[in-house]
Amino acid sequence: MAAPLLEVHDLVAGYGGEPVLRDVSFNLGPGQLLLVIGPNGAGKSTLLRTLIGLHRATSGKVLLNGRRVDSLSAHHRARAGMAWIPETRGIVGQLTVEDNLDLARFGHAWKPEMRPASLERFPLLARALHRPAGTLSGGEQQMLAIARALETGSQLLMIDEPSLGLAPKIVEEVMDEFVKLRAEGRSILLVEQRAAQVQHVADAVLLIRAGRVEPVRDRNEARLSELSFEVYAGAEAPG
Amino acid sequence: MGAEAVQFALNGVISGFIIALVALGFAALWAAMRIVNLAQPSMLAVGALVAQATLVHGVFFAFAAGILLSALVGIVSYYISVRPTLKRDPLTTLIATLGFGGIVQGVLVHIVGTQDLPMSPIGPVGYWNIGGVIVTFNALLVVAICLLMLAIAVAVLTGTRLGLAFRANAWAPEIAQANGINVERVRVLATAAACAYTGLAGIMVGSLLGSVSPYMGLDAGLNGMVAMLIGGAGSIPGAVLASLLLGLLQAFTGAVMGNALQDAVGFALMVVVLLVRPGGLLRQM
Repeated sequence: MAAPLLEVHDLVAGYGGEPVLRDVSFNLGPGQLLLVIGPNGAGKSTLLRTLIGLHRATSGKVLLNGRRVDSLSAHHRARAGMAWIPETRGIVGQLTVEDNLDLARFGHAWKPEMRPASLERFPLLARALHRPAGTLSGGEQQMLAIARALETGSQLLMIDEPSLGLAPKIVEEVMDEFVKLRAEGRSILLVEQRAAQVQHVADAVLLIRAGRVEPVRDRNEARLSELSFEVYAGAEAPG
Repeated sequence: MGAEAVQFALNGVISGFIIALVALGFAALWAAMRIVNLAQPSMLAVGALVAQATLVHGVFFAFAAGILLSALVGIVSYYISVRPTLKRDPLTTLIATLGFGGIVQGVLVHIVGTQDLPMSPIGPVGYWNIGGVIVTFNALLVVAICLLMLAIAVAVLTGTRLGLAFRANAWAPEIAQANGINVERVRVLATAAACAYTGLAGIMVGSLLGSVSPYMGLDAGLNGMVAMLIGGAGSIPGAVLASLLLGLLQAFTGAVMGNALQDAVGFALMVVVLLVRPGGLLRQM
């Protein structure tokens, strides 16, 4: 197997009190899609925030392309090739769609040729270039966030609950996009509960419960939906 | 009466433009890091005194020296009083910057003393008399420079990569960071630019009044802050609009009710605007 794009070793992170992430370790190879599931409050968003560097890890190692990035600040990690799309989509609603796309210029490996490519990929953005991004629908905002992440040239996309607040049909479209991106060779770390469509293409599933990675017993399609159910149920159970 | 009113309006517009340079700085710093840097008004005196002292080497040199030193002192104020306090509550930053401003003023008093120093106009001496309205070449130059600097600010903010970094950071600092924008650098540059503009405003005030002193930051600084709040905290067009409004209002108040009430009227306007439109006249950019 090719060397992993992202390596996470014994990552511990928290907000002062009890750690939110405890000894999280995993690898993500080039062109792989890693699905991260787990109950609310398990630490999935904290994991992504810690990886992009907006939240400081207490201990542990993060390597991108074999290079340590855990002591870098967020803007350096972005330039090193990490793209993060938060639950809130990470677009700046007050700026125009074009300005939002232009933010990719600060990223990893932006080239002017990328703009026509992303407008071809998402024609709806071409029609809305000069509108404030905040006036786009939720699905359109998600497409804008993906387009910008792609324009940065980052190989690693870390996406937090993209389905949040979207209609089922739109969720389908967004998930299809991730399937396509994986096929194009991008590495995707996807935090998602409504992931029926990507389950069958996910190269691995990471279950996080109470800040720990737990073994996933059976990650074939049919069992995964059960597992998700189990995860939700598990959130309410004591211990 | 007609010519007199026009004269007041003209004087109001001139002082409005100068206030705008200061208000722009306050608005920029608010947009960049949600703080008010109370050391910023001290740059009026820094810019003016440095320009006054170096005017013998020519107007351009005096401008460059005054503006550069203001920016430099501003950067020092950032590292000493803003950066270490930014993660605490805003009041700490406010007081730390006030303290830094006090130090700057104290140093200036130590160097030049407390008396007013004469300053020659930056523009050519002379004036036009247009139907009883006096327009000095100096005032015209001041307005031209203010307009140019405001245009530069708008061009940089809307047309450059740096401007985009600034605007993104103003709305969503985390998103800006996660996209590769060095937020720390944006903050330093915003502080340098705000203080350079304020220093320039000081040179303008000195040139118009014909004198400079370490205490000259107080009035214009206060007016700049009032204009920023009236315009809408962080809104750059709002700050400029409110500055012109404030300059005009003060000129007419001064003419009708006497100079003592000028500043009071500015504050009254601020209170009314904040009561009626708590976000200011225009919201942020």
